[in-house]
Formats: sequence, C-alpha cells, structure tokens
Amino acid sequence: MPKFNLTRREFLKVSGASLFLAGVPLPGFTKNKPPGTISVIMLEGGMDGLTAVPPFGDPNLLKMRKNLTSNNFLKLNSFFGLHPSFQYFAGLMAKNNASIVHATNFPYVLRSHFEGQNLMQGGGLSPFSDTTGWLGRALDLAKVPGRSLSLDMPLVLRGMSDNDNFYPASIKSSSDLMTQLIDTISMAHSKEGSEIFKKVSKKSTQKDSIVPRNPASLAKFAGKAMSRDGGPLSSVIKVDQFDTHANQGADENGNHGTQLTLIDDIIAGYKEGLGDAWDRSIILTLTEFGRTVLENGTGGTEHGYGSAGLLAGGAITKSRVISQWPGLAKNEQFEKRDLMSTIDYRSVCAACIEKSLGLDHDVIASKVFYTPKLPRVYDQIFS
Amino acid sequence: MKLKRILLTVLLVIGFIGKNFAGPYDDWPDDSICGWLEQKPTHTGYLREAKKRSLTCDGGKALKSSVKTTTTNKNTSATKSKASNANSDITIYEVVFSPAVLKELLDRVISKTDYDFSKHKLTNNVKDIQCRFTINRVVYENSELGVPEYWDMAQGTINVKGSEIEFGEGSYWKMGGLSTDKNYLKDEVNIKLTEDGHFVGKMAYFTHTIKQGEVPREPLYPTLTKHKRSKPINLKSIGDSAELWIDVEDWAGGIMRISRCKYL
Repeated sequence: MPKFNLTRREFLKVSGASLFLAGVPLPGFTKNKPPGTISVIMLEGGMDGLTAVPPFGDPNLLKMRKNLTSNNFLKLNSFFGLHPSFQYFAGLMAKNNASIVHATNFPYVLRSHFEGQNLMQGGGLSPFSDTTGWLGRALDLAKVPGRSLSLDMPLVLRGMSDNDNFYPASIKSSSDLMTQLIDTISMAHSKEGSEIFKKVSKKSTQKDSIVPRNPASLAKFAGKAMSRDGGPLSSVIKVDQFDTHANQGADENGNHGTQLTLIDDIIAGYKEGLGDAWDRSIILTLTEFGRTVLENGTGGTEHGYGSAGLLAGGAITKSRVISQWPGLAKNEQFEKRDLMSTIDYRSVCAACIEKSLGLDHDVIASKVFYTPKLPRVYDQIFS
Repeated sequence: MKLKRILLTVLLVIGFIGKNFAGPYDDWPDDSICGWLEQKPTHTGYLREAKKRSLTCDGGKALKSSVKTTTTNKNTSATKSKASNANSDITIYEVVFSPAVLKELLDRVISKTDYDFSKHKLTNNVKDIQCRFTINRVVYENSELGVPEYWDMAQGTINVKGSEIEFGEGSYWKMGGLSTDKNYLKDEVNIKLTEDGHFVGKMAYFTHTIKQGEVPREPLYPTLTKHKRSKPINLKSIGDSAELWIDVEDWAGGIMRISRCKYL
C-alpha cells in the first residue's frame, strides 16, 4: 500500500466536502435495475438563488441587490441569468443537459441551519421528526440497499438497515497488532456486532481506496463508481460555507461566487467520472434555505426562504428555467424579506426519483415525502 | 374648539368601526388557533378562523406547510392551489442563446487538462515504446537561461502507444502533499507525442515541496509545447536521451528527461 500523508482533517481542510455513495444493487435482491442514477449535492449554509440565477428581468433585483448581482452574468433568456461561476453548467445548458428550478425550497420557513438541513434530508414537514432520509426511503422502495461512502450515514440516505458505509480515504496497512486487536474486540461481541468489526477489518486493508483531494475529484470518483455495472445508483456530496452574512460578493471571486464554482466543479467531475453513464444520470442540488432579498449593511445577506435548485445530467433533454416567479417587490416577498418559495422542492426531488429509480409519483409522494398531494413536476423537468 | 371636537368624534367612530370589523382572532398565531381547536373542536369561532386561514392542524399544532400558505400574500395561495391543481401556474422559461453565444458555450474548454491537439502533427506510426523519465526543476531567478537543479521532482516510466502517452504504474511525484496521490499521473494528464518527438498537451504539475503538516497546494496545469530549448525524442533512434523543457512559472520551469527507451 502506498503511504499517503494526508490525514482526514487535512482532506477536509482542502476539500471542504464529503462524499456518500449508496444504492449498490444486491445480487438476487433487485428484480429490475432502476433506469438511472441520482446524485445529490447538498449545499449547506443557504445558497443564494438570487445570486446564482439572477432574475434580471425583475425590476426590483438591482434596486435591492446592487452589490450582490454580477454584471457578468450569462443571459439565459429575457428574464433569468446565470452567475459567471457556472462556466461548466452553462455549457451543459447549451447542450440541453441542465435546468434550473427557481423560487423554490423545502417547506421550511424558520431559517435555522440545523432544522433546515435536517428537513432537506428528512423530506418531511417538521424538522427532527424523521429518522430516515428521503433518498434512503426511495432506495428502499426501489429495493436497492447499498453502501454509503462516509464515516457516518447522512440522514438523507438513511432508510434501510442493509445500508453500509465506507469513508473514501486510504488507510495505511494495518499492523498485526491492530488486526489482532480488531479480532479480539470482534470476538467479544454478538454475531451482529462481530460482523461490523469484520467489515472494519476488511475495509482497512482494501486496495481500491483513493485519496480525495477536492470536491471535483470526489465527484469524479463517485461518477466512476456509479458508471460501473453493479455500481451504486446514488451518491451525495456535501459542500458547506454558503452562509455569507458579510462580504458575499457578486462575481466569481466573491465569497459566494467561489462556492458556486465548487458546485460547477463537482458537476464537471460527475460528468467526467460518469462517462457514458451520464446519459441516464440526474444530479440535483439541495440547500436548506435561500437568503434575504435585500443585502445587509456588511455586503452580505441573512437567512431567507426561497432559493434555486440546479439540475444536470443526461436525463435532462431540454434546458429550461422552471418557476412560478413570485416577484421581488416588498409585498411579494415572504414576510417582506425573503424570496418566496412557490414550488415545493420535494416535488423536484420526487420527479428526479421517478426518473432515476422508476418509482411511481404517487408512491413517492406518500411513502417518501409523506405528502400524498405533493405536486408532480416531472413533465416540466423531463418532457 | 368646535373643529377639535368634531375631529375627535370622527377618530373615535373610525376606531370603533375598525375594532368591530377586525376579526377577534386576527392577531392569533396559527398554532394558537390549532391549540384552542384541539381543546374545543366544535367551537365555531376557531373553526371559522382555521378555515379562513386554510390551516391544517395536527395535535394542536399548525403544520408547517400551512404556515407558508397563511402568512403570505397571493403567491402563497397559488402554491396552495397547486397541490390540487397540477402546477398550472408554473412557467417554463425556455433557455435561448444567440448563435454566437451558443457556439462559444458548446466550444468552451473547461477541464484543466483539455487541450486542442489539432494544431499539431501527431505521430501515428510509432511502435509501442517504454521510456524512463524524470522531471527536474529549472530556476530562472538568477539567470534568464535558467539553472537546472539535479534532484528529481518526479520519476517513473512513460508508455507511448501511437501518439498516446501514459505514465507507467510505478511513476510518482516526489513533492509530498497532494502529489503523493498517484492518480494525478493517471487521471490528470493529457499529453501526446508529435511526429517530430515533442510532448504537447497539459498535465498536473507540482511546483512546491510540501512537508508533513504544511497546507497542501493544488498542482498547476502547464501547457507542454514544442519548446525551443527542447531536445526532442529521436523516433528513428529511440535509444538517444531527450530533454523536453516545460514552461511553468516565471521563477521556475522544468525539464522532463527521457532515457532508456525500448520497444515493447
């Protein structure tokens, strides 16, 4: 085994991202292979949808966000633009492989990171009310239990006891002493506990490990794994630092713009890693909330409500911006401060599950999101 | 005096009327309505108010989705109506690029190792060969011509198949930090061999030594070109050693030394 100097802490410092893979079909368990793959990029801190996808056609945008709106945005149509950080995503839009849902979010309005992040993973209506996540429940319904590539199992993937987890770091060859120690602890446990220790022992010596170095390489790794026959059907990458209360910036080099570039790199990494499997893939972003419409006194924004969701993948065949635009005037804002969310983002997640895992919308609505009347937006995204 | 009295009377009347027209529960939070409804499920006042706000109560609490629909304006009610009305209010904004922008976007080179080889004449008739290589630094700080350093930044083998160039399994960077990941020499290399023996393209290139505990540095992605100071590979006599110069930064570049080539 090669000797790598990176510690986990160093990795996290460099990459600021974590990867989780799941949904490895088990031989003899999955009757029919689901039609596609689904990847989620979780943007923690609250991505500013108005910066990422500026609705320049709204006359109030520049009045309220003069210092937060890039002058260098790409015009998508007569109303919406795209932040210059999305160089790769723009190319995908030109190739009809990317879309945007705007003025959307999970139905959470209380602006707490902890609650919001829990809800965007849980997929219900109340924070901390679920012990499983929407993607885990969907994989369970599709009967594709799998592996989560992580030290912990993120809530979004919880939902089946057969799920496994693994952290994508190269572990130095274990010494005999270490192996003996694991064996000793293993013997002291019940059969189930013993199995877990055996897994740890096995993982510590496996050869196909990687040294993740940045979010894009994580995405590339995930894409490659998902492209293989029998590979995982789902992956989750988590990126933080979108909580720009001060000095948010407008352009690529601003604090928010830098984070948007990370998203762009991750999507590029996925495409590179997926190869031909790109054609049946869907990637979507999640964030716990958007940010206030009006910039604050320190050139930043506060926690808000509505944001934008980015979708990419070969499963998309027509690029578009999908929105029920609420307007940015004071009386059109949520509680006179936030972009209103007019599309329940769980509908978007449901459409992506329907496309990638082949589940029926009504089943997804009632059993994954516990909302039987969840609107279906499949046609708007994939037709 | 008389005017003041009239004005006072008018204000009192307006206040009285306003008070009577305002609903008794208007300033109650949704949860309070649901809480009282839980206590008195048949109370007509609470029932009317819950209906007015379209509240969905569960265990004495208003569900979160209802919060959205009751605390906002016309847009919220539209969201609410969508639940039973199949998203009729959603608009599709088609993405429309001008022909020039579309061409620029479709031609856009994004990957750090993407390179347009069309301007080079690549070799295509070379038998599979394998060579040894090292990369050494050339420092330009004290001399325009550069001062080569004779310690190896990277070393290993190079395999040439047609014009394709790959670094062999045992190849590695010796710069510490991120460079210890051998995948950089597999995944982040896009170089080819020209018919006159030069390497062209792009590859990840580590410029600084990183010691344990130091913050890792990302590699640079210099372009390998036909450098005027290079001594290219002699494809008619592959046993000859070659020196391929690489421009990296102002203060330092590199030399890839190729030796001991043999046909496979």
